[in-house]
Amino acid sequence: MTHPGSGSLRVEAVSKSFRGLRAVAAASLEVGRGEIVALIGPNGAGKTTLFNLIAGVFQPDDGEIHFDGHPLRGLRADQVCAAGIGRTFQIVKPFADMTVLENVMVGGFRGTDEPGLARERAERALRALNMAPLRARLASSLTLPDRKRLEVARALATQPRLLLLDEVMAGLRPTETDAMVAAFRRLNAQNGVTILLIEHVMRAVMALAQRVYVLHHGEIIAHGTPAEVTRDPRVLESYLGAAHEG
Amino acid sequence: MLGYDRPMPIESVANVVIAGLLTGLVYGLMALGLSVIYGVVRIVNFAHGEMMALAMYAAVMAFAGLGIDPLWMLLPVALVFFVLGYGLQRGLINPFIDRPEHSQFMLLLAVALILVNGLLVTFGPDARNVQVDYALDSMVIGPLLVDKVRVICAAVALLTCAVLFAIFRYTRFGKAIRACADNLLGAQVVGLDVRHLYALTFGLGSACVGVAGCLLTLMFDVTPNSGPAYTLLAFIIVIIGGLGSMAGALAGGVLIGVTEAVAGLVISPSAKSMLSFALLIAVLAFRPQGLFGRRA
Amino acid sequence: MNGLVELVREAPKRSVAGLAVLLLLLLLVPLVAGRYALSVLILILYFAYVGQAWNIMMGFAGQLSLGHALYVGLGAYAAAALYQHFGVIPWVGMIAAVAVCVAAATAIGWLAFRFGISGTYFALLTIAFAEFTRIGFDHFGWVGASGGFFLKVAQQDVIDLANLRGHPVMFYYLALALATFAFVLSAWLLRSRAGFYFRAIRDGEDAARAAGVDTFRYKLFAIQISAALTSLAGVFFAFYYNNLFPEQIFNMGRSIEIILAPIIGGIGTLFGPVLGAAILTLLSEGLTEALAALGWEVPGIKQIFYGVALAVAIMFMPHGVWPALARRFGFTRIRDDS
Repeated sequence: MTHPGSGSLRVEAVSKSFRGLRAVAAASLEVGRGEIVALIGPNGAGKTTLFNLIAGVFQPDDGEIHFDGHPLRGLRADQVCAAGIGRTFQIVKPFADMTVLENVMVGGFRGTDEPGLARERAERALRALNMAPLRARLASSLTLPDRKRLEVARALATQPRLLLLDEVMAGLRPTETDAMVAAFRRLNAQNGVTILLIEHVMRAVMALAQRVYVLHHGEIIAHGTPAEVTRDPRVLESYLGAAHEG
Repeated sequence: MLGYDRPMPIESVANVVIAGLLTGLVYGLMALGLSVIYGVVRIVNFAHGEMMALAMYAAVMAFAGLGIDPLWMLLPVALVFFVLGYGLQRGLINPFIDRPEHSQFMLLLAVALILVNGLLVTFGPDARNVQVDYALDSMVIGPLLVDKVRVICAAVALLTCAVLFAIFRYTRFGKAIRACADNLLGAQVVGLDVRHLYALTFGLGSACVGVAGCLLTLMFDVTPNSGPAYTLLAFIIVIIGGLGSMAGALAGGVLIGVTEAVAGLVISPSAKSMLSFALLIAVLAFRPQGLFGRRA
Repeated sequence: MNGLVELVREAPKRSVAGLAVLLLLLLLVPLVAGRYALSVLILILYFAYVGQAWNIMMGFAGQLSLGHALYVGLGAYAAAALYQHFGVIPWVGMIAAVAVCVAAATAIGWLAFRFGISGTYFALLTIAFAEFTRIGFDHFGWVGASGGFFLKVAQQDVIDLANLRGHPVMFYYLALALATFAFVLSAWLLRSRAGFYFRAIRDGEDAARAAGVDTFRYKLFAIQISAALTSLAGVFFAFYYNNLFPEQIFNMGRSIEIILAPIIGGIGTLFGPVLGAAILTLLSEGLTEALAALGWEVPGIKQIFYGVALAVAIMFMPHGVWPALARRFGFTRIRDDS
């Protein structure tokens, strides 16, 4: 399904401002091929903006982003997808008037125009997320957790080497979270999909991530294993501080 | 509409430009109604020009049947149209406000269609107009010769705009309407009756159209097809000036008025609206928010 | 071809059977239909065809065009001018018609999509282009300007297929062929990558891009296909009616006529435009006949009827008549298969 051993990401000192407001400030991170890395931080830290920069929704003001050694600068979002990066949105965006299967098939058509192949990829992605029984339902009729899974399935169908997951565990019950975690572990182990995830649900971060980056006010303030990072006083400070500011 | 066939000396060009400017102010008033409705209710009133044609016919009929000068019809027409607009918004559009964007647009399109053809069925396709005693009078201002009618109309148009502006600035419901436009959720939380305010806004916009209609009968003929033509004109003006901007509507109106007047002089009179369309396309391409608009 | 076989195989059996029966009936109708009935049927098929063409752009790709009369007009004038001035048979003239319309559509689409114009602004842009062209053609002397452009009319009992001159029956089968073609093309599109990408764009451009859709290219493609198909309707129009007036053919009322059938039948569905065309044409012709019988020949009544129909459709049947009917009788839409 994907090339094993590819999907490395290197973000170098990337910055982005919107109308004078600094969203991301000289952030650097690296995700090696086949790794699962988490990006955490208080609300408003700039995590989704960083994802948008990687995914080609915006262009960085400064810095470079490399994927498997190739620079991503100047690529549109659909070109970034073609390069092998799949992403989900924090606020889910299902194709409301299409069925679950059709939604995922949109992703499946990436790089091919054969409906049969697109459908195969879509079915596989749905199975990976235990969504096959829902395939004929209209996307607009799904519950929120199912919509989140749909986002992932659709991104998965594009045959990515790197998956950017934006808060896909939000609102899930613990059993559902565990199921998702298991699914991602399988994808990572069996298909070699590299994963970079933004997450608030610590249960998932601790279970999945090999390394964690912490973003605060657009800057990377800490980096290490989940255990290291959750003990780091600066990290705790940033969460508590953000709570006071809010 | 306006057009001259003979080549003219420079003062006459200036006269044409002034005439265009004055006409443009009335256009601006018409466009203002559209802009106000969009700015608050966020509805693109596709029946705008048709409503104006209705107002024009009302003025024409009042003149033909009762001999009333359109200027005396201003207030009654404004009131009637206020009520009509209020009713239209409250009765027809409000219930469907949650539907996707296209729905309201199409609904008003349907209203436009019914209005145009209703006028056609009622009055026939021939042009109607109003011939007041002072229609051909001119005033001399310095080296310029201006139509008295145009000056009066422009003045009334400006006055109406001023009144509208004052309503939004100084009255309570005017401020409430602005609150709705700025922050709908906040307005609802504070307890403003949004449906009522929306309807009021539509009523005010329609009243503008009614006034503009009466004024225009003093300058132009009206046919059932004037409706769609004015709708398009109103849109061109509002988009050029900036949707939701009152100053923009007036500025756009003047710009289009002058452009049309000059184009009528330079190109063939019937082709002058092509220039307006070309302007529209250019604005949509290069500055879609218009001259005074805010980027949505 | 392969795709077509799969298309039929994947469709619900009921639908295929129903459509086959319908097609058979339509093929046999001229044997029993009188002249007037035939002309009504031609109208229905014409609006079904042109509605289907518009539906591709709106129902599938979500781009609202209210200036589709532009393509009817351009197609009509292109083929008619080549025929009248140079003796080019319409089957070749068609190529020119398509070329001109695709060029126009590309210009409009490029302008709009490059600059991110969408929704109501885009609709207004399409209206502006149509109006601009209408006024332009009013002054276009080579094709008669506002006075009109006329094709030489031959006898009606001689069927000259090459020049599209002849008996209404010939036009009936042509219209049927067009309508069938558009239907099959739409069905095929729906299961192709383009169809999926169109609908993705309609339902969420950002998400579409994230899933690898080059939204600019596909939106452009949608408007191009729609325009190309509509141009053929223009060619048909020119050779069926034999006279063209800019005021009529580029008229905004015409653009609205085009969109009524799909809206009433059901935007985004396959059979909606066909059903909508049938309902609309039958009702409006019925109305006109009834009024004529009462002695009221009033121009404008038909348009009022259209306005009321549009309003009723938007208010009470925003999804159109077909979806509810389809569910009721078990003709699920082809794309609902699991």
